[in-house]
Amino acid sequence: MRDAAVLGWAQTEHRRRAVGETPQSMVFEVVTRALASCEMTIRDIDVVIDAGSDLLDGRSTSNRAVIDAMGAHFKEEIKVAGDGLEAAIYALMRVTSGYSSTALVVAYGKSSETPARCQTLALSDPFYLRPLAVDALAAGALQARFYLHEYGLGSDAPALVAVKNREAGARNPYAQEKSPVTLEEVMASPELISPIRRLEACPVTDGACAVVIADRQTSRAASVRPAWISGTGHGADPYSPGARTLYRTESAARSARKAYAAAGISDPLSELGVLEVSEYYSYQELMLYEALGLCGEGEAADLLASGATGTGGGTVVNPSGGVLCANPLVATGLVRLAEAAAQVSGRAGEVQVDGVDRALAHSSGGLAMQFSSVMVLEG
Amino acid sequence: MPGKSGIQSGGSQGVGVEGELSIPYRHAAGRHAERFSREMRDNRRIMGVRCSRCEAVLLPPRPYCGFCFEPATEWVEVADEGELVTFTSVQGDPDAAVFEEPRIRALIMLDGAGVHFPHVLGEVAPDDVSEGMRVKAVWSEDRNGTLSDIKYFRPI
Repeated sequence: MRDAAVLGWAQTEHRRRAVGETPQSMVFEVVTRALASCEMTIRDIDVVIDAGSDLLDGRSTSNRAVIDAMGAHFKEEIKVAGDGLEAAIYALMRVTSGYSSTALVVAYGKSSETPARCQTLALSDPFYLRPLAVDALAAGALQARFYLHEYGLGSDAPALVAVKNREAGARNPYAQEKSPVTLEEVMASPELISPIRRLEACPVTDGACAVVIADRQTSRAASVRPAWISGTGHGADPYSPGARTLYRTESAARSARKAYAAAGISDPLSELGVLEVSEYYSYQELMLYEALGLCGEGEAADLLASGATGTGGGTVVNPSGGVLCANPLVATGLVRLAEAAAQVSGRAGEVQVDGVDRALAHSSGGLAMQFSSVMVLEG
Repeated sequence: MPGKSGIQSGGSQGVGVEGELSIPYRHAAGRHAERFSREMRDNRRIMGVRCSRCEAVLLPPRPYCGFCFEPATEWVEVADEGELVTFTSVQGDPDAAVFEEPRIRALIMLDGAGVHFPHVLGEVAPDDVSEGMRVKAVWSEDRNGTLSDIKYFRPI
């Protein structure tokens, strides 16, 4: 499948609080830079697909407020109420259907403006879960403990994810967390909710990302090297965390299988040079190694400890530092796509991994990774 | 609903406008949660529904089985005791919880159920909790048809 490609992208320098910025100013910045990165103007864009959060913005149908900043007035525009990588899947549908030649994908989140917990507690069922105060962190903690118990792992196993990703993030000019941490520091950081420690949880971040996706004809004629989209998949698990086998993320596994089938990948560990995954908490990266087929069930901690997924390894996971180094909520998964596209087209700058032919971008959403999206890119 | 007016000069936070959306909702429980609540309040019973295809007993009760996409119409009582599947201790934001103490959230496989039931644990210190332990509901004397009709589950 070489019917569409990612041609351009841009992300903000992610920060705890983007002082002086509004959602609109951040969106205008990334759209302008993303278009420039593939030598396009807004006039070259047929359709705009965007992701934003009404709750985060404190504004109903939040896209109405950023239409101008996206250059979307007088164009077709569709909002996705989810992560930006889901918006990218819609964009892919538009350009592969022949309905549009080019699509601009935009996602932004300014989490500093409201307590993040209000947003994530609102994810849960008001009758059965909200009274138990099960927000994203508590659901994550239930899942983390279940996973560790199922495979008899100590709580230092996920802590190594934080060490690996913070080491990588220190090289990423867009990352919010730019200092490496030691295993001792991670283990000594306070527990937010057992077993998740402060340094194993994503930061609160303001940021935005924009990506340009184009059909085959436009991509072949482009002045930049395309990052071809060779496979994609999306899936969801049941709403109630209790209705799932919580120590597995079935939606990610199914999304990956679908994407691999399209891309002709049978051994992801040897065929993917880079994976950019959405690990909101450290243990999630371990679960994702298994779901995305890098190793068998319960083998992720050993794979991580072998160094295979770290700097200099054969299959580098999150060379950008991942979500533990910046979490511009809603844009988080689209940033993974931008990073993966940058890797396969040799435009990843300071975080470039040598010789990446294929890369994968992953996003998740909902409580305990209910939703998953996967995209495979090729140079 | 109207935001507090006035530009706030905010030092390190920059200039901002205070805003607050306080939106009241009255969420319909729906007929399944209505019956679930009534059974808890009046009969101290935990009721689920059985999928007509895979026969799993689903909690909370709902009109369908999401796995099979088939109707789930048969009501089934499950035990008010079962096995602890996973848990997390304490902390979080106390303002968000109607359960004052304890706040060890848990997933419990009640005897007779096919999926895990989320609730809280009590009468046990976090360090003494372990996966696989048997737990039983402690019912409130003052029941009103909400989830807190079960005060918590305690180790047997």
